[in-house]
Amino acid sequence: MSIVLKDLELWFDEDKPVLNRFSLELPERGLVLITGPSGCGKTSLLKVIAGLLTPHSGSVEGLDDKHISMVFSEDVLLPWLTVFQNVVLGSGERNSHALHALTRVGLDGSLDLFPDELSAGMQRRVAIARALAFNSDILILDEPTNSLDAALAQDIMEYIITTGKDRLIVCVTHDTNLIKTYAESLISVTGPPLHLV
Amino acid sequence: MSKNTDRRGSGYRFLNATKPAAPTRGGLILKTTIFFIALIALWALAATLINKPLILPVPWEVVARLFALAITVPFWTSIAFSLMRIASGFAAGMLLGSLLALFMHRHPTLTACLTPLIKIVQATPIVSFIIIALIWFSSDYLPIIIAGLMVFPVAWSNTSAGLGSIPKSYLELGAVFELSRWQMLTKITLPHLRSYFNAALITGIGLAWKSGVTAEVLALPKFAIGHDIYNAKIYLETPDLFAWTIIIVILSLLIEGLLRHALNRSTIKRKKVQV
Repeated sequence: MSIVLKDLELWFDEDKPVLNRFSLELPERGLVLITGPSGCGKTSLLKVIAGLLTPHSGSVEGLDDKHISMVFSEDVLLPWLTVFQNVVLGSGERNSHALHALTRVGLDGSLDLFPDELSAGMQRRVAIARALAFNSDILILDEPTNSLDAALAQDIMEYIITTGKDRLIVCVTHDTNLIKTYAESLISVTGPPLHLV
Repeated sequence: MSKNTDRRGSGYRFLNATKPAAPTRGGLILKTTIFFIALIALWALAATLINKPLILPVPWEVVARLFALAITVPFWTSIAFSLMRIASGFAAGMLLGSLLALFMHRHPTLTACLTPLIKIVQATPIVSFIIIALIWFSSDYLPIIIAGLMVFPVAWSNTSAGLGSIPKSYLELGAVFELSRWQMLTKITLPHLRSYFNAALITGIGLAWKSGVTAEVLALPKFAIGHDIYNAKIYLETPDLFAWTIIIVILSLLIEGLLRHALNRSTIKRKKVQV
């Protein structure tokens, strides 16, 4: 069952709507890449899909009983937890999932480090591992390749996208390599208010 | 253009030239010791000039009384009972203040009702509470109640501030990854509150100690530092009064130091890695 966003309206300031009768249909599985200028409302759209923002009007259908995981635009790592504990938190305490995800992003040697002991790129990989470890039906990625070098970004994104045969991946990005590689999955937007180009 | 650059350059040189060197631990101890020796010398000089031991005894007389008191059983009994009472009040105040803040955070309507009451407690002079409590409660419990009452608003306000400052992103993280209420409390809320709670502990322990001893002076429970201070005042034993004051200060510094040490030990120490 696809996910249908219908006539969404959302604003933080009534005079400047972020979403104004915005509609979009997302497939049940596969990759959806969203790109557009900064501040056009992409992150707000992701937060509506994740259930973190409730639109003032309109409907979001097809999300019932779906588990969602997310890589936020900021890493949002808890500074008092180690790398492993941060990822386990996202995996619903399933240690094997956490370990597998951390190995996949190349951080299996840094399990006991704390976030402030990591470089920006490593912190980003922990955030990605946390989202991967959570057995979700929808994976939402907000600028996932930020702080990653091109080769690592490509390797990690290739792996993430292979998981898309079982789930929907919605990814907001400005990464030109990613946009070029997966152009067939691309949706271009602009705003505010957010609208398709 | 070149003028500006020159001016800026000289400004930096000026700043560098006047930047004070960070004091070493040894240097700090030496300065503090010199300061206290000077203070005691001044006290000795003033006491000698006044020459009325009833008003201002000489330091060595106070020290002699201090040692004389320290070898008696009632001295240690008073200290032990005072510590027990004040520690009980402190623990109760910290616990109730923090729990109420957590409860009010979950039920915002309560905040509107209870915040003015807590503000009134904060603004009311300690003596007013002591006098009222003296009428209502047994003198044995009064120091516990007063110490608790003084600590309670500190614990409440620090915990409330901590709860109000939890980053929205942490709450979003909890919502997306479907954390249970228990996980939210133990993995996000309580660790975030830790620094606020520690600050309340440090501020509260000093408040509890001072207010508890003050309550003892007015309530006069059996075996209490406050009772001994009152007796010293009644019988005009000024050296004893000074000796007990010194004991109170030493105990206060000792308790705060021990608490700080315990808090520092429990803080995870990590080395920053170079990446």
